[in-house]
Amino acid sequence: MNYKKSRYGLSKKGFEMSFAWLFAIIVGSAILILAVYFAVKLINTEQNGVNTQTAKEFANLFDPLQTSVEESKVAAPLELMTETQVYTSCNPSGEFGTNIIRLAERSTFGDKNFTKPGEEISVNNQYIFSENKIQGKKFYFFIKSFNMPFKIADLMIVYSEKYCFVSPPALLNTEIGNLGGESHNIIIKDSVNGCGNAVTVCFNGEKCNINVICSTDDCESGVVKKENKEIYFINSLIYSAIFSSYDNYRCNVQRIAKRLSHLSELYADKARFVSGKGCETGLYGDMVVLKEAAESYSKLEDLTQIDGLAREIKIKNDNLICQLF
Amino acid sequence: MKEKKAQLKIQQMSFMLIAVFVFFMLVLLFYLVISLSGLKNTAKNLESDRVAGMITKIASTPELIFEDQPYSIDADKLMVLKNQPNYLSFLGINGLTVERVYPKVKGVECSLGNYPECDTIKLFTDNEETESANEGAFVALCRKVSIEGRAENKCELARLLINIKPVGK
Repeated sequence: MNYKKSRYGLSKKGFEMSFAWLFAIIVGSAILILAVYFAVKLINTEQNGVNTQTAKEFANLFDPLQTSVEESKVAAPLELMTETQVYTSCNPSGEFGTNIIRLAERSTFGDKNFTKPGEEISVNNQYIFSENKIQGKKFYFFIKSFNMPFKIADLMIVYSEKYCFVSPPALLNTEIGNLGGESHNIIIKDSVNGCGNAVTVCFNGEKCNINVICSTDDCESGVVKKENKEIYFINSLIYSAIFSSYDNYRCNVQRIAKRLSHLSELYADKARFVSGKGCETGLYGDMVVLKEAAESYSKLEDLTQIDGLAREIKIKNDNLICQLF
Repeated sequence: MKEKKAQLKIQQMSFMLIAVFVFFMLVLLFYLVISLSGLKNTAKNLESDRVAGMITKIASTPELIFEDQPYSIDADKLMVLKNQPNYLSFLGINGLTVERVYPKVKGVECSLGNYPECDTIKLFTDNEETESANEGAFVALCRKVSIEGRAENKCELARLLINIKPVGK
């Protein structure tokens, strides 16, 4: 090549770039940038799909786990492929309210952080009691039937951490023992010292993560003290109060009160319906009162009053020849 | 001559880039088709799991169960529920049919006028055809009867069918 000197004495010798090169670099980088952009988008969409699908499977798991005659049911733990965060929330609005589940799996690429949670899966006929966020590869479930005085709902309790119950009352000791034991991350000890790093649940006033104060010997009602909150419970709601966050518990109990109101109305209608067929129960009025009490439910302390009404109705029903429920 | 050679090179390069681009687009399309067909199957499987679970759940839901007996449905409650369509969304179904299998009376649908001398109780659905005929389970259909002034429970064999909401609707 014949290089000339410029008039300032500078050499024009340098890297010569042909149009073909320039064109290839510009268009090539545009294609590469687009490809990377779409690949990232695709991975995110795929991950969102996986998170949403797993959340749906998680919600579907509860469907066959309803109790019928049994008081409680322990399900096999759910073991996922990757570490997952499960977000549970509750919305009391609407006729029956809803539980909302969202899931985020730990990413297998790059920084291995948790991915963005998938879409919300809402369920309106289940009552899921758990902390707002639980995390792990293995999740444990048990279901408790909640009756007041007839069966109202199944309480689905979900957790991932290890719980250590310290000196529970005799009746609860048997019940807790039936919740799957160590293989389900539940242990019973005489003192906090044997609990290791498990979440401690105490009944004897020791300093624990969760303290239960029972109003009766068999702990049919009382208060669970947790994270500076006092959570009132009756009957099997004790487990919900222990394993659930305060917000989830309060909202789900409100949803249960709504369902009780609807069920009382249904039983009132049934009482009237069967009375014309030779089955006089005399419980129509009681059911209407129970419905009104459930309708006016506003705070956890109201549970005790509603439970009192329910117990009276149960006694009346048990003494009937033609029982309503 | 030199200019013509350069033009040819540019054309070659352009065609090559377009070909590479089209190739990657085809690969992407192929991948999308495969993954979407997998998604459809996953949705189907999830749906069938949901239905199987739902039948078990509905048979033992407090609104339908007869005196806490497993797989027993309260016929009296069903008749009362006929006037309460608010349960439709709660149960997550489009409709529910309970067909008495034995003993069959007349094969007629139940109403407040002919109950209990009837065979089929339909809830929340007017469909002549039960869409989910395959998604059924045998249950005991129970009710209170008065025999010589005494109230007794009478249970008969029935089939519970549900019409479910299709995925995405």
